[in-house]
Amino acid sequence: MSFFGFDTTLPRDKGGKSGGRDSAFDPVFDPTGGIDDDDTLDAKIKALAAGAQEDVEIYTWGQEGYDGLGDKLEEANDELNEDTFGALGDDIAGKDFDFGATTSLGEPSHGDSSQQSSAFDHPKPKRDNKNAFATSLDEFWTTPAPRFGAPPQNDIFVGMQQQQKLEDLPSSQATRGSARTLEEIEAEMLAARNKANPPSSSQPQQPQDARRPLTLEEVEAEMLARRSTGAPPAQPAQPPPLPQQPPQGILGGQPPAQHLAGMPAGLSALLQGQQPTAHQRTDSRGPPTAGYTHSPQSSMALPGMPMPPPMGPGARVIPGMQPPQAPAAMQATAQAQVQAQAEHFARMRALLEATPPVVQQSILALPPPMQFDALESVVRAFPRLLDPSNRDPAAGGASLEEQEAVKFMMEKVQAYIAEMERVETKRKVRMNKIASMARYNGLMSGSDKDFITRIQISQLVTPDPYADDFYAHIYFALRGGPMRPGIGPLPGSAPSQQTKAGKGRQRLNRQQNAMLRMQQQVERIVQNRKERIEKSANGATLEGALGRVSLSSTKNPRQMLQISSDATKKAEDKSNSNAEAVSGARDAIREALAGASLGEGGQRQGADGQKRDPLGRHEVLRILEKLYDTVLALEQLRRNAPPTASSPRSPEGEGKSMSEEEEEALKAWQSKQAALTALLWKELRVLEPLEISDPHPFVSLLSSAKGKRLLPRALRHLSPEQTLTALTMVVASFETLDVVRKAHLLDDSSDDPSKSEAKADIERQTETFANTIVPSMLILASTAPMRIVSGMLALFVERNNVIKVAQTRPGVAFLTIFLSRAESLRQGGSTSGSDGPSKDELDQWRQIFGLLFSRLTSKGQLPSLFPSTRAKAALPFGVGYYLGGGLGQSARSALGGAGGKYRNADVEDEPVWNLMAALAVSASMEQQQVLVQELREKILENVISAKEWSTRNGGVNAAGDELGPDLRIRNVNLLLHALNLDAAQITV
Amino acid sequence: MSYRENLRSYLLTDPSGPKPTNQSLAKMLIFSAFKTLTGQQVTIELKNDLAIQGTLKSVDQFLNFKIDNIRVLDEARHPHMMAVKSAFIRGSVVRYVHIPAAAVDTQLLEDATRREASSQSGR
Repeated sequence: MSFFGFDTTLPRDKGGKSGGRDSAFDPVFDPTGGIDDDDTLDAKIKALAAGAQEDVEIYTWGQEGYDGLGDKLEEANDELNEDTFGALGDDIAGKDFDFGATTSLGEPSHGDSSQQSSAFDHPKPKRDNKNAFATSLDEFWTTPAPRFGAPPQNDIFVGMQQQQKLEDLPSSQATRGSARTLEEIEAEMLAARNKANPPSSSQPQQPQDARRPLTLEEVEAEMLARRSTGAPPAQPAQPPPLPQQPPQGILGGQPPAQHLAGMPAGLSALLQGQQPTAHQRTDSRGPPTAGYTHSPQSSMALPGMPMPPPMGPGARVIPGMQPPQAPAAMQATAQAQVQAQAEHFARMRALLEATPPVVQQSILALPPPMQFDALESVVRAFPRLLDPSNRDPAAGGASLEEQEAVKFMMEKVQAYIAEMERVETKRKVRMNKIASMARYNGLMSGSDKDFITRIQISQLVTPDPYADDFYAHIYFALRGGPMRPGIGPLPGSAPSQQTKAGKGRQRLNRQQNAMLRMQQQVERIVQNRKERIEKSANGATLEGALGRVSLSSTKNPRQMLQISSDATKKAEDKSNSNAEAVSGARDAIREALAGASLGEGGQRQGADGQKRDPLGRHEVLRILEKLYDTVLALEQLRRNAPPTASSPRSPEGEGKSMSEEEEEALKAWQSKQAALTALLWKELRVLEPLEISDPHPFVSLLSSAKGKRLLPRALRHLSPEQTLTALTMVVASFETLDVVRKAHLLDDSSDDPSKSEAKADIERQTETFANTIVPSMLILASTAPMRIVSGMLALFVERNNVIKVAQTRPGVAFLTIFLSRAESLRQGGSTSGSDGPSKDELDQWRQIFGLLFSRLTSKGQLPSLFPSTRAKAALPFGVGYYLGGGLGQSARSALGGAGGKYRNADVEDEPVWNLMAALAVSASMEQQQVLVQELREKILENVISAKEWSTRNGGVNAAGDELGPDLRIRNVNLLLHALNLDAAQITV
Repeated sequence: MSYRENLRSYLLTDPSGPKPTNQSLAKMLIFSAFKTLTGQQVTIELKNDLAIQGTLKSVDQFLNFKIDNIRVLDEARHPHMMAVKSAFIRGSVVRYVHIPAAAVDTQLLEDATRREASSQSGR
């Protein structure tokens, strides 16, 4: 068998095979023969239901996939079966499928062939009926295209039933015949069957004399030819007149519901009394079409009509309307639906009655399947037609509106026909495609397929699908990827989701359905394979054995040489032991140090603490990798978190109480998470004593961009206290951070190529710092109380050279964060009062701010905080040289050339001006005066240069310097507005 | 997955079957990354110095590529390729693939690499 268990042998090859299960997929081989009983009918219906799907689906993917709709079929309304299929005595059950009976009885006694063929001949007309039934239900008028398969799934079951029937027969079979081989019997049966039943059951049959077996291809080709030349069977434009009596079942005033389920009954009743040969469908418009076609004349003339003549056609029409809806009825034959349809018919009939006769006539002249639609659309478009008072009885003929209605209807019908034609072409194309591909049928042998299957499965089997597809999975989760079924949910998580989805929406479309089944099928196969691998891995390993029985996958290739993993470990241990001893000792010391420092809160002085070398670059990287692994594990753990009692549970969850198992899982999960978090915290080395090394190990970790990026991610998994501690550590050792220590490189305006690399690096590091640690600090500060902000600032001022730190971008950012948070706390406290800082806290804050302020302004170095000032100071002849005289223009270019980023200096100044504004807001009156004093020159310089610039350029900004003057004024205003001043007030 | 696809994959893949090595382990990550690049404009350099630019349609585990709307970078040298609008490129003949930087999440890729490394060492 192939991968998914469907048979791929050609029909012609199948003849030689034993009939068994392959026959289930064979459209030519009809194992049910001519037997008509309910079970066969059921099987047929099921098969048709399957056949109504696309061809991919005909192959049943395993019995679980069966939707069970067939079971819902109504079992009632079988009274007319006899009418339909002719009287059926027990004695004429087909014997053509009698393997079980004969063999089990030990009586290999098939009758002679003449008897056999008679057994076949007898049920044949009934077969035809069934074919007609099938055709009419399934694709009543669209096309009589061949159906692949339509297999009764339980043909074996049917066979058993027949067997029972046969046993019941008071038959002379038991005594008849001599033993024959199975092949002989089969061959004989095949011949008989081919003779009896022209192949492809739902095909229009060949004329009686052309009774040679046709292959599927031949039939198809013929069909195509017929369809392309002749009128499409889909459009029986003129119904052939039906001379026969209208069936009692239809005109006898039975409730329409009866007709619904009893479609075949009505049909067969129509055909009753005809010669069996009349059923031969020499024309592609078979009896079903004809049978449903309305012929007003004959119905008018009917005796005993319970309805008035206009009513008659309506009633006649009803069965004709059924075919398009019949598949739906098959899908769910719930009684309610039947009733609803009955109502629908009744309504339709009423509508038809209400329309004027002209319209009525034209509606009834349409091909039956269009009549309902046409009627409805006409009524919708011309509601006035229904009002009898609008009709002019005197006019006799059709009114204008009626004519319009007819015209309208005809147009509609034209559109409908065009639509059908389009569908038809589409189908044709599809059939062509399938036919062209059929060339390749049977190209691969069974073992070829097995081989491919093995390879494919080995690709699919993986111990951890999540790890393999980690990137794509998370990527699509983050960026919103295509929810293609192929990529969709991971194999691991798929089953639960899919079953839920399956329950939720029954009405998946065909392709989704097929895709779903396929996924499930693949999943099952992979699962089986995985289990087998595990089993073999557990069972077959022998110490030191060469080779072993194992199933390989790409992830777990077959090992040619099985070396016990214990042995390799031992060897590794030995080689590592020396190195381990050294590093182990160091670790022990470190651990001890860390332990000692814990009690003292990291405030040990360097004097009694042991010094240690700072972490080397490789050490840092190694630790960072470990940290990343931990963080990844934590993130993974968080994604797989078991449902907790607090988390919202699904409504169908089992009540409130958690089961023991869940609680266990939750506990295990929690303990695992706690362990990982502890490891993370320890490895971050935040709690090691401050003076243990310079820089502190934690600071060393932050020295690489990797470490900077790690911190926010790590902090997400840590408690708020730990976050606070870590960031306090950053503040306390701010001076030692690489971004502060090497910040002077950024001010270096020389074009020294030897430094440019270092400069680019520190630029990158600063950027990363601003994108990772500063936001973390901001988040922490945004919720911090006054006490903590004061403490942070105090630590910042105490432990660092404030001027030096404030000359760096990170330092400015941190100071601004503290100041603005404190300010908003003070203002919030004054307005709301409840949550604000206490008086003591405010006093403390004022003290600390005073300290910061005095430090910043002590040596007249405040202007040096501005990058532009520092850049100018680095110029060879000082600022004055460039600003004085008429050198303005060239000075600018000189500055631009030398500083590289003269204009950017203004941009870089902005954060500093912001900091100044924050200082000004927090400052007292005296402090503000000091501030203005200190910055006076800087302010004036900015304002003057801006004004000069604008006068020189006649108020029009020169190209290439649009930002300059405006930005300078804006920067100054940042501070001046904080002091309730404006740059416009400054006159030069 | 059907018989037809069975056949197709049979025709397209190395008939001797994939050789499971550590390479194929590392390939999973690259495969996963390429999966996210479908629909992007890529340039594939082949080992015969042909450079093809086009929209990536699909990738499979052997890093075979299917690309649409293709254009050969050096059209003067490869005029025979001018009429070709789409291509299937066997993974083994690819030398380089130029991918748009914006479509790659570098950090995530680093994480994925770490995961793979840890899962491999854990084995």
